[in-house]
Amino acid sequence: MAAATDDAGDSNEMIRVVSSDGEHFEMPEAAANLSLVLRHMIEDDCADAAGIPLAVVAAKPLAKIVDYCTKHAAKSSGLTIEEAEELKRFDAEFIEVDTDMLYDLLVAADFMGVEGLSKLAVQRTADLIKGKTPEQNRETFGIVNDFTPEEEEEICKENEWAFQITKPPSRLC
Amino acid sequence: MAVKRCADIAVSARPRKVMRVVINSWSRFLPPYIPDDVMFSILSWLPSKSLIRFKSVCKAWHATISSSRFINAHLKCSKQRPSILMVPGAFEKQKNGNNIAFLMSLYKYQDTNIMHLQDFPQGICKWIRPVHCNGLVLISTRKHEMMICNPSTREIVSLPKGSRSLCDGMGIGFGFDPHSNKYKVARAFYQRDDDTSRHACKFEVLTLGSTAWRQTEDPPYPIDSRTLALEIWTCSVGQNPEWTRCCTVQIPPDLVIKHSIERHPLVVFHERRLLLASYKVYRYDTRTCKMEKIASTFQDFTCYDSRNSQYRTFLKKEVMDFHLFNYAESLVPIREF
Repeated sequence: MAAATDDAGDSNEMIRVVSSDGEHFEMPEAAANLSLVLRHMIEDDCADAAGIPLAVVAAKPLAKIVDYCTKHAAKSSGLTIEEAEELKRFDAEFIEVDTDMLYDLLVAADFMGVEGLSKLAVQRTADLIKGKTPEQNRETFGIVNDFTPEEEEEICKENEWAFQITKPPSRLC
Repeated sequence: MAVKRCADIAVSARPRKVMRVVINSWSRFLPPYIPDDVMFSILSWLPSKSLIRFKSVCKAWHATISSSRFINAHLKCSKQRPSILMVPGAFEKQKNGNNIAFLMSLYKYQDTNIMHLQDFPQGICKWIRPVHCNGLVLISTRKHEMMICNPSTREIVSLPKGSRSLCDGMGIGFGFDPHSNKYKVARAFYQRDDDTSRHACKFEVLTLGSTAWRQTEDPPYPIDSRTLALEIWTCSVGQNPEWTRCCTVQIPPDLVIKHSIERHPLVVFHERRLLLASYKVYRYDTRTCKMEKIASTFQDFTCYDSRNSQYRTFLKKEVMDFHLFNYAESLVPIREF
């Protein structure tokens, strides 16, 4: 308990976590603290040598999350402009993943309460779907259209302009 | 599972356990399941146009996107993505060279892209510079006609006419009052003072959703457009508003447009700085009292021609007036206030 509540600079201690499929990972305590769930577990003294079990996070996304937290924990306070830009570049590259991994990260980051990563994955998903049609979104998210054809037509008719996805040829600069 | 999710709007009460089962099995058997709070966040980061389109995805999305909780969350995200609204205006000319209408268009400038948002095909005559708040834009004319539009949803609502003014109305404000949770339009106008028979500057306020203007305390200083210096005054909020003078700014001569009537530059507050813009853009720091010129990249602009559905480029000379201001697109509805 004392170790966990000591000053925050004591981040040399490694925290072990276990994925749903039984793989073990290690990260500095400062990195683990970026996850709300892990921080609470550490505060409650649940971080032991056996590792904190994460029942809903598989090894593949967990490896990514450990990477993310380790990188961000190392550069958390007093960033110079260059360091902030480097971290931004890291984020941009980090989130260049296939859709399966993106879904995993979305759900896992939300579950583990890693705020920065949640936002990153959410914004990336929004970027990917913003130009899609409603039907494409239903497919992507496995949603069944529960509107009657009449209801759907009415909604589309109300805002016809929003369904024209092609951009007008107006580049001004 | 997905079917059930769609029909069920208040899913936040769903037990975590159900979600886990789905997560573990989706990769092989089911389409991905995304928790509702995560889906809410994803939608919050989408542009308004996509959201209006996605209302037709399913009933749950429709209900979410239409809710005031979502509209606020979306506005908050929108404010984190800086954009500028550009409003070029130009006369539409007949073949004989006479002006027939003054066209106004709205464009959004974001991430070096310029997107066309909305036109006013009938033309808006003699408009005064628009004022923006939370994605809503107040447009008014010299004839004291006013409307509020939301370029992201294309909703337009006309406002009741204010008190008659002896001069062309120039002093107009529009903002959100967090105390009453309402949007308010403020307007300065001129009346003849019965005792002195001189023009007196008056002040009135319209709360969106109400039908009548309400006169308030007179401003301490007449609001006039033909000046080469700006006086910045602030007014406190509350029962007895008090006016305080902040600073006086000398307007550089190349910012005053010499037309039949002189027009002062657009003045925008940005934190502790003032932006002054007409054809040129200046920045004024209210703390250091320093004025500096900003290089402007907007050389010419396009305007939508509704008759042949084409975009025409106007040369700088043809654009009679041009405004730009910080803009955060939103889904804020006008009629509900």
